[in-house]
Amino acid sequence: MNSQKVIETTDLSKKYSGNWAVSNLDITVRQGQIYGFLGPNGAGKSTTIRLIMRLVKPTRGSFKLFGQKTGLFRRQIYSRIGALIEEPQFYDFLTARQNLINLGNLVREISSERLNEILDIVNLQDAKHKKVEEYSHGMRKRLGIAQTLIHDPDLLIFDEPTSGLDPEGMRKIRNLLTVLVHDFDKTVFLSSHHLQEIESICTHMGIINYGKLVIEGSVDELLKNTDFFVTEVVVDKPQEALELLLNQKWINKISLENNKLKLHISGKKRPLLTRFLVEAGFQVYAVKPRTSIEDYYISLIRTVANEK
Amino acid sequence: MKLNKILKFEILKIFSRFRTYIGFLTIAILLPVVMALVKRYGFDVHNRLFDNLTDYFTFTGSVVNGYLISYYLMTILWVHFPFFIILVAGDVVSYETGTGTFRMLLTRPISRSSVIIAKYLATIFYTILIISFLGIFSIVIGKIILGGGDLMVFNKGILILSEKEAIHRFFIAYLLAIWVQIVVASLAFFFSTLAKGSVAPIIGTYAVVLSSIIISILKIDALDVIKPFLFTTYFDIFFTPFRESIPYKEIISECFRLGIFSLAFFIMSYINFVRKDICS
Repeated sequence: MNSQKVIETTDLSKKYSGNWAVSNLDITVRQGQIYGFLGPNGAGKSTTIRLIMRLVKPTRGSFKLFGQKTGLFRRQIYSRIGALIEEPQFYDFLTARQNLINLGNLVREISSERLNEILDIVNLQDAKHKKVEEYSHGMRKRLGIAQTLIHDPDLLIFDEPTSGLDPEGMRKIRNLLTVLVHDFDKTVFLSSHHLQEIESICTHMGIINYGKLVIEGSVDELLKNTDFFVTEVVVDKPQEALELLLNQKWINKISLENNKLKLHISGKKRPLLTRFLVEAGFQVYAVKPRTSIEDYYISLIRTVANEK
Repeated sequence: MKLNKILKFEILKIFSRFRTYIGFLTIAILLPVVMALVKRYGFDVHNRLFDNLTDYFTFTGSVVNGYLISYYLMTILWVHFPFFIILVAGDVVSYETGTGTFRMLLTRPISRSSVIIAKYLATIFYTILIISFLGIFSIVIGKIILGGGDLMVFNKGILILSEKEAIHRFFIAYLLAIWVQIVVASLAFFFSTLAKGSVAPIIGTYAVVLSSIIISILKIDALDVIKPFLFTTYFDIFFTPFRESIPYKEIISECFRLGIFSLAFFIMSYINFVRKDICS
């Protein structure tokens, strides 16, 4: 893919009180990608975002945004970026409308049509005249997303955008991110703990641990190169099936969760598994192949931890 | 253009919070009450001073009027009034550091220089507004409740100023009071850039102001060495217009020194803010 590099960091590093929060980070995010930035707590995800947004100064290294270097006084490029870093914090004593208009106006003049359009997207039209101090957690999140979109940026940076939301709220935000990339040609940089979120919506991902990049690439390619394919099987007597399959050497790993068998086998062995179960007299209701980013993620994190 | 927008936003933020109005409310409630009580019970301090003079002078009517009480009320500008300035100035930057709103503001395509300059200008605007309100309100409400007339001031002798001249002197005095309080605002602003919450800069600034005032007014020769380096040494500048002839040279000299203090506090605030990492 040769689309424009939207974020490019080179040897980006940040040291706090003798500890490297981010170390020698080289990541590349290209236009049109939904880039998932994964890592455990304290891995350096938020610090990386703060570095990119110039909230903190790099100890070493540099980065480019849309191919341009930035600086304390060279901030015009940030008009092409909308960022939501950690929990959205607003001026609670102002209304949502006042917050959005004034923050948006610092980038470009915001028309009332644009304001209403964004409030409709995040479903806050009816609450726009309420002070933010009256907002619930979910409403604040949505307002946080609204402030990233209000000035129509090309790159959206989200740090845990769905944390603390109910499943419905999470689903809406994930759908919104997908629509923004596919229909509005935006690029999204998404830091998240939700592995499924990365798996379901991201095109690319980078995994960071102890401030260092562990791996980076397209989600499909990274998963294709791993053995972590999980097959979920639903049968009539799951416990008996489990006992039978535990003795089979061609199955790497098997477990029973919520009456579903979860097997680690390659895709090629899936027909063999189905035939084996049917011939053993089980009623097979479903065989669902699933790739699990979670296993992949945990294995990488453990590898880095062991190396350390 | 951007500075203009940030400044408008900063002024909106300052004037959207209740704590901004505490000073205005206090003035609006306290001053009429003081004036009304003086009207009802008289002004004892002044009357005692006059008792000593009745052997030599004959007074007809009362010299206690709105201007006289307004003049006496200016003493609150020394110790008490700075609190209202500090309450706002000490909160302007630290509030945003503490709550994390800088994450929204400083990710916009605006420089930190513009943000800190706009915040400082908004703080100065508030300072000018509240001191002007105190000046205008005390004179107007004083005149309404206690009436006008000549202003008699005791300061190394008796100075009697005509009503017109008194208003002129009040005008200069309040301009100087603004200049003095800008130093207090600048100090609180500087402390605000250092802290992650409002309490420390507010208490810290007030503690510095009070201790400096104490050193400035103590008549101990040994302290004379440090007095020129304390801004509170020049705090009483707003009383100088009530001397027989206004000492413009002295005023300019002291204003210059106070200006240096304000500038120094602002430069320190600027450097600290532009360089610091926003981690909250």
